[in-house]
Amino acid sequence: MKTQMLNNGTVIDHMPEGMGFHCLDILKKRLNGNETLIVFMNVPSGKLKKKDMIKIQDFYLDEATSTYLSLLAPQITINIIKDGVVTKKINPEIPHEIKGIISCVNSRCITNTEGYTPEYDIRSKEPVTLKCKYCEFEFTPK
Amino acid sequence: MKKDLVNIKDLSNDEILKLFDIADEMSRAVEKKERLDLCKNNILATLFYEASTRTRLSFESAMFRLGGSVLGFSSTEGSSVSKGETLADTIRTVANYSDVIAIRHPNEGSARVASQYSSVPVINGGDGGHQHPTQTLLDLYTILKEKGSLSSLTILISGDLKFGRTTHSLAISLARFGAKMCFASPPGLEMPEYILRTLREEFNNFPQEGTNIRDFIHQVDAIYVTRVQRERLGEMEYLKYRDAYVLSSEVMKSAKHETIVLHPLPRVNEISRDVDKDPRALYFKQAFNGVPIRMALIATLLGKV
Ligand SMILES: [Zn+2]
Repeated sequence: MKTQMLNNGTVIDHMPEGMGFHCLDILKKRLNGNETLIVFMNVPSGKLKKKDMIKIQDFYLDEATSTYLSLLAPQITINIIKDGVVTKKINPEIPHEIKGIISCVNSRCITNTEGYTPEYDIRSKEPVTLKCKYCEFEFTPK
Repeated sequence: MKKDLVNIKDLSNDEILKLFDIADEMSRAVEKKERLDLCKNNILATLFYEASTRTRLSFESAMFRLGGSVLGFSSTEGSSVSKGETLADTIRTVANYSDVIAIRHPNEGSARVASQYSSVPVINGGDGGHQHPTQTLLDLYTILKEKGSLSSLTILISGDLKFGRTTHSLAISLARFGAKMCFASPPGLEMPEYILRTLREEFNNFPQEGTNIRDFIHQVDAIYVTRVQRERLGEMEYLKYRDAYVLSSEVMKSAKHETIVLHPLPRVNEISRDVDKDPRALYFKQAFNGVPIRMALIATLLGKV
């Protein structure tokens, strides 16, 4: 793990090829715009053929966003680094059910029209398929 | 603990059969035009956020027959709903005024929200394209009552099986009781894959699929007809397939002598009127069954039976 350039921050690793920019899009809402960050794309990797990777300085990814990212790509790993040391290694495990984090894709679902916290059962992990506990719509988060 | 009926899955097979036994008793009272006093101190609130006269009247008739009282509204007109009150707040308030709530709402999942915020039992009277469990109950009840069993039957479900909400929960429920099924629908309006997957994976049930009711009519014990809406298909396709889903007395000639015909009503033209006098046409009897089934359900949820 080449973390020497990052003394404090977050490394999101083992993203599938092409997910880097999509991930950045998701992170935009959480970032304040001043962070230094690097997106690595097409990095040769053993696990996957190629992987994407993001390093963000002075930014610590929250639990909910980690879970969200893991739903998009179950194999990702997230390292929180403080003073040059990995203080937290999040190897997100896909839970059996989740609450909040992601909106139901069914626009007519009551959780969308009146803003209740959505809840889901995980119907399948490969690919990740969520089933809304309210409208029972099934979908793969994107 | 309060019990609700939000989804047909909330009821076990045993609970469904128990409800049917109670509905048999209620049927006798309805036939004799009696008013019972089982629920004489209870109030049913009917909250109909979209108009559905048939369903609402059936709920209200059921509560009156049980000796209870009814209050409520139909559509958002004149209620605080149009002023933007959330469903949660409306439900919390109405639960203070009533002992059981029947709700119909255009958004999927609304009945579940209602059940979470209500201190009294909630019955889902239809939540958008999702569930309409009392319809499923009366469909099952009608078939069972006429045929005596579900496990030995083959049932044809025809029409728009993609958007037709009643057909989804009916198919799953029939599978729960071991019935075999045939599906006839125009291309593009087939039974959704997630329903087929549930049938396969949870019930080891593999329905036959086709595009014309004539393909299956000779081999089935019951036909459940639903409408194919013109706007779902486009003009050309509609004209091409319309006749494949119209049950006429001519088509009924290929059916077995004891094959029954059901329809959730209202019907438009998918069952010709000349079928009405065929003794196998049971859709009006099916609609009648809506009252005893809802009586059985209300009395059960209120703990009166
Ligand atoms: Zn939903």
